[in-house]
Amino acid sequence: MLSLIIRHEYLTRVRKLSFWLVALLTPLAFVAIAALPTLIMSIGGSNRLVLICDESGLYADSLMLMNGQSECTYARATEPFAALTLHNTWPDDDVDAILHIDRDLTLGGQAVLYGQKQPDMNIKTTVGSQLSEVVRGQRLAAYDLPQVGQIIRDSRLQVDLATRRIDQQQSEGYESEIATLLSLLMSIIIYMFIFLYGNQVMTSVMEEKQTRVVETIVSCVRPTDLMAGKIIAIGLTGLTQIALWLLLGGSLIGVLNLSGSLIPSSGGLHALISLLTGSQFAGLTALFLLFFILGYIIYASLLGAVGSLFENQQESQQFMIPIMIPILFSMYAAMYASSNPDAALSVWCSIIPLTSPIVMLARAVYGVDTWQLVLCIALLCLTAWGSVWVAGRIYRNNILNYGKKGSWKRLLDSIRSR
Amino acid sequence: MLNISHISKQYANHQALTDICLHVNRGGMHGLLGPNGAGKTTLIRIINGIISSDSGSVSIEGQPLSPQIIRSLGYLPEERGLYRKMRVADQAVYLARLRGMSRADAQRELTWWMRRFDMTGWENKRIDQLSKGMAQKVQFVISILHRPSLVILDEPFSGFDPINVEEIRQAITDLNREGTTFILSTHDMSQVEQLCTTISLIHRSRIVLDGRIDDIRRQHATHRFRLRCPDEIRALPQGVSLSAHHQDRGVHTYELQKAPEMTHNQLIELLLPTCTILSFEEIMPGMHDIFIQTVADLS
Repeated sequence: MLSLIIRHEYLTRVRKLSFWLVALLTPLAFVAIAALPTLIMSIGGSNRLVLICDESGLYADSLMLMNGQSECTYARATEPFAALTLHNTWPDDDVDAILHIDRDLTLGGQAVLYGQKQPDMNIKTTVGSQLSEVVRGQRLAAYDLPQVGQIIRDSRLQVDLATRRIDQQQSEGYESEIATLLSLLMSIIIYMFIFLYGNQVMTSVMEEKQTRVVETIVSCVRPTDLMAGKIIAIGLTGLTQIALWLLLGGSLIGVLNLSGSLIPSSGGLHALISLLTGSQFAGLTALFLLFFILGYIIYASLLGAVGSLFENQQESQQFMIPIMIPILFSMYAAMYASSNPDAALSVWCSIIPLTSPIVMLARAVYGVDTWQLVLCIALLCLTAWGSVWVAGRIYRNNILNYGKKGSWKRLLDSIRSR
Repeated sequence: MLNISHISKQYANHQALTDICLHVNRGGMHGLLGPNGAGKTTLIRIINGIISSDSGSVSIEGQPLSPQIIRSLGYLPEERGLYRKMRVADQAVYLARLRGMSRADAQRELTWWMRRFDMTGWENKRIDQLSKGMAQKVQFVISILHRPSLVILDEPFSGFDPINVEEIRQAITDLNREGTTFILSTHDMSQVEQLCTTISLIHRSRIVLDGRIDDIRRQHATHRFRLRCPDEIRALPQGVSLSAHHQDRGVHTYELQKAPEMTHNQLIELLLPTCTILSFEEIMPGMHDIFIQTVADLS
């Protein structure tokens, strides 16, 4: 019977158009979110004309030599600043800004950028940095030292600091950035999975109660079998979804050959790919699946129990919040743990069962003491068993109570009664 | 067929059933009656294994309830409901399979019942595309699709128009004739009188009336008779009182009340000299009256 329920619940979901839309569009959305900043940054701004009123006569020529290096094009003003802006009028609509330099900037002179409206950050940054470069160049030239430019360029050496675990000096250890990225990614997937599919369990239970179909079903299968079948089937739907995402996401990345800038590490995409194919990843994947399943069972069964108390989602809010708070907190704790894996908060949150499925993964990438891992898994298994037991009782005793308002008292009574 | 022995059930602060004993013969048609909140639905859910009793036992064909036996039952709950977005055929087959039927058998039976109820073509419709009455008819079909030997119908006629009531009633009668045992929980006393041979009346968690309908009606006889004659009776015999009289096209109809100790034959003997008897019948109380009287007496 359980297999029939699982099959029915699973096929009902994967045959829905919405399942395929989410499966197909989510990787695209992820890629879009990742690529959007790069794409936006790559869009060049329109050319900006900056008139220079250089009363010192020191900078205008050098700035005009920089034309073509940025979006700003410099031109020397034909009139003095005062005449140009007489009665606060703007000389020409084609002019985007006027750079007024009153005297030698190294001797206390002031450079002011005027605009018809307040000049934007982009033009301010560009003009500021180019003007600074000109001033810096003139100062260096004043020292009259041979090869001073080359010396300065050589001194700007950036050290690429590699990170390794002491026990993995010879093997491929994770770079810190990649480890952080991977741990966060796994935590986010578990968080999303629990959130989305736990909610699906709840709404599905509510729907069966609301439509009264549940009474027909529980007259031939045990209520706990129905709930277990639902939880397993929705879990499998989620795993299918993720498998599809990985498949499509992988293919998309491969096809588009996105630039390494999408991945916030020096190694970029190649480092991530080599990491995903590394031997250590297999162990992490096993842990990921274990926490994934245990975390989902805990939250899905609790949310299923809440669903059995109500016939619509609005009424269930008061019971949802205590369940959702640990999930939300777990996500923040996971973000913290991914940067501070051995801090006390990270350690405790990775052991306490309601937060551990999400937080432990954030730490696991860096390596966790065996006793902590064993304790975490043992507590998770116990909690999963406990929550299924409690949820089974709540579900069985409430799923056929139509038209009664859910209350904490009813919840406790239903746990106590046989 | 069904034997219920000393079943009791208590909810938090409410005694739902107290020491319920009930027996339904194989091939019987048993009415389960009672005011709202009496405990009928609780008893039905216990028979269906949906909830467990605090004490007592239920057996079917001498076997205690088991998942296999429960699956073999047919059940139409009072709170009707099906998956709204699912096709009729899909959910009928799914629910029949949950009751142990093969897919092919379920499909074959569904086709047969769809044809019988003139519902051919509905199989591919979703429930939310059907009217409430149509959906209820589908649910009735689903409850008997797996050819159960015992069917429990909770308010089977509610929500149906008279034509559909007749169709459902006929289907129940046909299945009963073929050997299916039925338990009908209903407030429709006319249907109880038409269909059921035995009844149990539950009131405030206990069975207060139980047995064959004929016997119960006889037990509740009010000693009233209807007499039709062409002549007007000038004087009633001693021990007989007049309850009502009317005349229609030369025929007088009398409703008479006799003393309880007087037999039917004694009454006829007393009446013979007073008139020419065209017809003489005992006015038996209806189940409706018995129900109201019994509940009122106990309240």
